[in-house]
Amino acid sequence: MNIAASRLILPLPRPQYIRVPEGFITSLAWREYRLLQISNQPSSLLRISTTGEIKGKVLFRSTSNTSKAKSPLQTTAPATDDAVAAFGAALKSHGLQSAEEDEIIGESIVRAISGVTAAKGMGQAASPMTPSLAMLQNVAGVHAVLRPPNLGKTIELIRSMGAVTSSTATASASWARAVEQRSSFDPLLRIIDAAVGDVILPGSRVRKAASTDATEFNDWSGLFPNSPFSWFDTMWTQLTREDWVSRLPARVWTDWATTVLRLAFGAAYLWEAAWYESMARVVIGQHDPTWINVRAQMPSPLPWHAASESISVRDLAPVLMWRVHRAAQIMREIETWLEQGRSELSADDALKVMRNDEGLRKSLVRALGSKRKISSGNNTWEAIKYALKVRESFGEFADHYGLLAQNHRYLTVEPRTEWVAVIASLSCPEPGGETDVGRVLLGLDELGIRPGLADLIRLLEKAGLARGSADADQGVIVQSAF
Amino acid sequence: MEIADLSMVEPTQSKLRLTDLWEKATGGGDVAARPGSRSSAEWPSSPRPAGVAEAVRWFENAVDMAEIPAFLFLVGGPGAGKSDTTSHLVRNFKEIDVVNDGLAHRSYIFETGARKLRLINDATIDSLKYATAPLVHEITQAAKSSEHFVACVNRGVLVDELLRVGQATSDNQAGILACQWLQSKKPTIAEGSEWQLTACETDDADSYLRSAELSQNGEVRAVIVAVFLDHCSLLERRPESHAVEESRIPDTGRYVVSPFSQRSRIAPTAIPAGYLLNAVIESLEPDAGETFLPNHLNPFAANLRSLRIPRIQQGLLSILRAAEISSGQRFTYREVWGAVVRCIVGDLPELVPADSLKSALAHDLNSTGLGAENKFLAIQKLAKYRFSQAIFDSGADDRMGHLQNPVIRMTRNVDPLLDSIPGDSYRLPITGWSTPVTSALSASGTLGSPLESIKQQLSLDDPFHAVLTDFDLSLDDAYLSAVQDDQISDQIRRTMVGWYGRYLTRLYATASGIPGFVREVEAWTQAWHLSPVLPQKDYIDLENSIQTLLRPRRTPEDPRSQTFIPLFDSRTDPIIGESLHPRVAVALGRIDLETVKRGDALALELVDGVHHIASIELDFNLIREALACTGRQSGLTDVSDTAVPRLERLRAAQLVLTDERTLRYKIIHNDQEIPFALEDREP
Repeated sequence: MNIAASRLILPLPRPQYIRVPEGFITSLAWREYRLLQISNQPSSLLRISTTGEIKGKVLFRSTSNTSKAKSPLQTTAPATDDAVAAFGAALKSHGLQSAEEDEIIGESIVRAISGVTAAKGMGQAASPMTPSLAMLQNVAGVHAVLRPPNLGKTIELIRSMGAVTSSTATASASWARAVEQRSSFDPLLRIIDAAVGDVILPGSRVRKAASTDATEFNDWSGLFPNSPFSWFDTMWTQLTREDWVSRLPARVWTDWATTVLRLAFGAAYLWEAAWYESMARVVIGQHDPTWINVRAQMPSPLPWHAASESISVRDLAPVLMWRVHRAAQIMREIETWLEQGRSELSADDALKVMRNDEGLRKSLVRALGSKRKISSGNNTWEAIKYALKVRESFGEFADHYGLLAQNHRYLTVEPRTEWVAVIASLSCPEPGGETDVGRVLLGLDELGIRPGLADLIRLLEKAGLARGSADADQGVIVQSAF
Repeated sequence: MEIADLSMVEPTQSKLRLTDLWEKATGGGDVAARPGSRSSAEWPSSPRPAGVAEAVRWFENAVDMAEIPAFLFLVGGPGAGKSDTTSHLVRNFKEIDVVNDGLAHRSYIFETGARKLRLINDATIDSLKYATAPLVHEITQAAKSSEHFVACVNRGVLVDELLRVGQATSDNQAGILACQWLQSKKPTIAEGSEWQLTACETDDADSYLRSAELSQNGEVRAVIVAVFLDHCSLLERRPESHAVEESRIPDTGRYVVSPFSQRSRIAPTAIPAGYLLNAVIESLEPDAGETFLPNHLNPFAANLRSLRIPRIQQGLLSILRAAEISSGQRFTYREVWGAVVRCIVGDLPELVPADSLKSALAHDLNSTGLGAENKFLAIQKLAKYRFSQAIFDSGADDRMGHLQNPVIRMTRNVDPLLDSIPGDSYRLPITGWSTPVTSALSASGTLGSPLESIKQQLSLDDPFHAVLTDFDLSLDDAYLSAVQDDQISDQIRRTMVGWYGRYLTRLYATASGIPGFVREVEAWTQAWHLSPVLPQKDYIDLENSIQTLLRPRRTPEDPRSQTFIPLFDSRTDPIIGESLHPRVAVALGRIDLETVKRGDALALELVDGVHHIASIELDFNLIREALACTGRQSGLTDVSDTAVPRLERLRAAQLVLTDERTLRYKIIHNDQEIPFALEDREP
């Protein structure tokens, strides 16, 4: 295969922990829209940067005390009775007709737009059902750091790597088209979006010109079929399609979009870790050192043990955490090696030369056996773990879309019911359609997840989406949830 | 040959020994038996699944007439009777290209006169010729070569074939069309292509017997008939077939589910599984059960004695039918055999080789010491083989044992112990039934014979009198001696009372055909029978119960109260009672409910005025959840986590704005419901 050696190092930037799941859509929103300072905007503590973004770390609500921090977290949810009343008045001015007091109107909508609660009381984002709601937090706020990684760009990259051709619309443009479609038929969301823009956001929202940075990754397209990258491209195209947007209620669509983004993000970095581990093993092992073999020898990115196994067997934390740390070291070794004038080779040639480089082989053997944690590995592991695991389990703002569950020190695969609904439904050709377990399994396989047939059928039955049959095996019919 | 002959598997003449049953305990081979294997003829007869006799007759006539190739598909899981049918079908044809290696093969070819007959006897065996989607290619090849074609397939194979087949070409088009039709899927091959499949006029995608024609460039190349062997329950009356002209595609009778409370009117032999049960009992040597143990300690002889009584057979068959309804699945013949064997010899075939049975039982009987407690323990060990115990318990202590046995996996859901409703007499489905047993064990449980106490409370025609045997009397004696023994501790005594109570509850309920959740089972069969209307009787008011589940009122006791669901919440839990914080909600309108029969299943259709909202399966879990509602308040059951997500999605579907649907917005705060409207401003 004529693939350049530089492609052995995947282009994903080093990620960081994302404190609220809504952060994924928020990062897309800030790629599509910016704020313009306007003179008659109500006074706000929020400031706009020269690039049209809100300065500092901003989240909708915060439950942690950050006032003593060097750069305290700012919140956008109306905090005082007056602010809530002003929001209520703005809703009315945009067309919400009610004799009820402004404060009650404002409070009811503020509660309605609140997203998932993060475990350990870290805070709460606004549910990004419209562009303005998505911009009630910024990328720094959802990462809880002043200089966050470019999450939106990472998502675009994941999509580019999975796209069959390079002409696919960007992930953020697809999202913006979908929410604008919803706005066109949902008057209440139009009113909320306008009122948030009027009295909460510190400037006027405008659509950015088409971003160009996404296209720079187009030459990665088609390199990784049957991977979380291709899964994301397929799912995102499907979910942002008109029929799915019009079929799902607003909050459900937003939750599903967030779920697809969380999964693609977490699975992409797990896949990356498996890729580097496989590369090291191929270089030092018996298989022909080729691109195809690196791909063929990859371990299961997210092992899914049968539910009947004991919790210690099902525990993923040690396996995946150490793999991520090892992968970070392997990546560094190979990156450094390639930088020494070898990036012009073809990938297969480079792998052959690696096999013959005793120094590199020793480094890779050391990395594969390493029990040393490194900071980039820590960050990556935290980012993966929190993207995939259930945040709050109970209550009004519970997370029904998590895949992993933390039980004391154990991290196990325990999908929540609505996670199953998303995966099963998006395996159907259209809303209201049907598919079979075989196709659901194929989709999960793309993600790097391989549940046993019996476990998957049990989950689908529990979610009310499938009914087993003695002879059906993979032929069990699965119905779309909507 | 008469249809009546075809409808039966050929009967055996010789009598069976008890240990012969080991071969028929649940399990079976991974692959289909070779056609021509005669093993089936050595066993008691059983009616073929609905539609099979008619299809076989049609196929034989089509072969005789030799005009157009006939394609017959037998669709069903392992143990459904597919290979048994093909064995019958090819009995008069000469196999060609015979491979005598003693192994079961995927395909066989027979000479039928004018055309060859290609038999795919087990489509789960890999093909040596086609690496991917072999069935699709084999169908196409047979159509192109004008061969007759018979295939035994399961639904998993069909799905797998279509998943892997890739692009349609002239080498696979006919096969793709046939597999899609068998799965009731829309054809993906455009009209005007070389191959086309046209369903026959009488074809009903929801029937156990279907038919179609396969054409190439407008010319009919094959007539297809497919039988879905597990479409009808083997525990209901078999649909009657109509006399048809020999050459015509068969016309079949309607499948009907009997109301559960009326099953006592059906003779056991009128239903296929009952016929087999009766045939097995009759085929055993007269003293088959008495070989290994003295009569009063012999659970096998006791089982045979009980199960020879038609009323007890009815009770057992009702329990098995309830197990099907509760699991939403149907027993195949293999599982019916498994259940029958279990009811005669318990789980012994899984534990002891047939030739070691005698020594194993002797060891069990002699391994306990002397004294009343030990005597009781010895007979208690044997009691697990009694049919009323064995049909619900795997016998294994581990949880996985229950899950792995295909019979127990279904029957355990309707174990009467899960839901023993207090009441004096069993009159379906209003009253409870377990009081005679519980009262016998509570007051006089350690004083007098519980068995006698139960008998005295029951009418003389109660099946419980009939089910009792010397074994049960011995057990009762042993129990009484043990619990009255001063030497045993209170804890052991309590354990004995508890176990014996469970034993008697199951024996009583199984004899009478009372499964756990009998009210729910009755409700489901009533719903099927009354479809498209839901039952609205006082004791089974499914219409109102499901309305309560879907649209619980904010104030349940107030008939004017509406249903409110939060507009932007992740899940649509209805708002019940007061709301401390103001919440944006939508008032749900009226929903009309009706059901549609789909074979042995029921779909619930929801209609919002005139517009269809959604369709969900009205399964056992949903019935349980609905009947747990009381007084317009939703209840909670152990299956709520399965039923509730579906209900929530149905509610959520009503939040979607369409051209026909506008939403009624409210703010729910404290006890108030504050309406608000939206000014119509175009975006």
